[in-house]
Amino acid sequence: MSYESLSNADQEKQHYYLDSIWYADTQNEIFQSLMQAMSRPGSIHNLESRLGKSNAVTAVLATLFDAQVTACNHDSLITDEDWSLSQCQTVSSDAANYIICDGSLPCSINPNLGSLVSPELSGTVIVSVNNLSNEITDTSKEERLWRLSGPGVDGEIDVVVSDLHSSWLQQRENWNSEFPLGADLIVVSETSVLALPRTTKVECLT
Amino acid sequence: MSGLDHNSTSTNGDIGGRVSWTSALMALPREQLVSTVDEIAKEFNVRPIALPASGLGMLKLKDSALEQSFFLGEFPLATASIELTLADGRQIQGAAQILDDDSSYATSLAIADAVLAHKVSGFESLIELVLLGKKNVLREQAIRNSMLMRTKVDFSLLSMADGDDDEL
Repeated sequence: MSYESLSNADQEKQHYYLDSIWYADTQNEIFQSLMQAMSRPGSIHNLESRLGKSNAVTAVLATLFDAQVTACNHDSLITDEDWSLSQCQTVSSDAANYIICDGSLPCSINPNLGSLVSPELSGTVIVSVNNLSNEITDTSKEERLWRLSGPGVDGEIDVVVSDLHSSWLQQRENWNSEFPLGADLIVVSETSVLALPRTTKVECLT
Repeated sequence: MSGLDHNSTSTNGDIGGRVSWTSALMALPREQLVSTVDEIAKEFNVRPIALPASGLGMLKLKDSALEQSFFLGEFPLATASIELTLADGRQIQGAAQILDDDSSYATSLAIADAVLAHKVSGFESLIELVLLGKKNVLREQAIRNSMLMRTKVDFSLLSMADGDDDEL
């Protein structure tokens, strides 16, 4: 069965309010931002103007998830209502296409790393953090300065990630140690998104 | 929370079982149903349980020789699944899956389904619509039956003709 998402024109005809992230036009824009983020690791994409009343994690869920997708709401960041709207199939983290995690907690997942024949079948980890920026903004916060390099990065780029537990970077290194096996990360703050494909080298400076 | 309780709706007097309500309501002019549901829905908070969607369903069959699947054809399909929160805080659910390409129409039918199944405010006007729709369905069925009767062919006459050929 091939389904079409709700178009933004449908918004006025409905008997209820749904945030704009659940409509196709907005999802297309967010998808383009995610594609840009994946192809340019380290680039931070602000989704604020498209979010309505939702946060960026829910927007990424609305854009990427559908009935064909298996997913794990590992730290219950997503409300039952939003999870139900996505119509994804709930599975354990090791079998999921997407895993949504709270980055402030220690990393406790074992994502599917794909196989040598099909490394693209690995899981993608969506990690929620407090803030993303390209420079340290508040020294009082738990901010980590990363220097990224690799495919899609012009030389090097610095990004600052707030309130991400130190175990995440170490786990990511373990997952990606046998390339092409590995897991891709989408790091999401309240309003912005940043992608770390498995090919990106991350050096933690602070 | 009340779920889709089929037992409570299997007997509803002369409006029949829940399974027949949507087809009866679809036999009415669309505007008539939508305006009635719009009025009823003002009293509730409506929340989609799954995203209403429309698209093409694929009719999949297996061939009888090789047992391989193939797509016989496609058909328009719209689905809606909603939850109504009543003034007293109760929550009831309704759903619709229809051969149409309009998801908001499916939502209207899903709301009607919930209201009729749980007999909440506004269900009397929907019962009238279901009864009207059933009359339309029966009338349409009668027309189709008479058309079908007219297309009937008596193949026994062909076999008699075959016999004639053999003799020649």
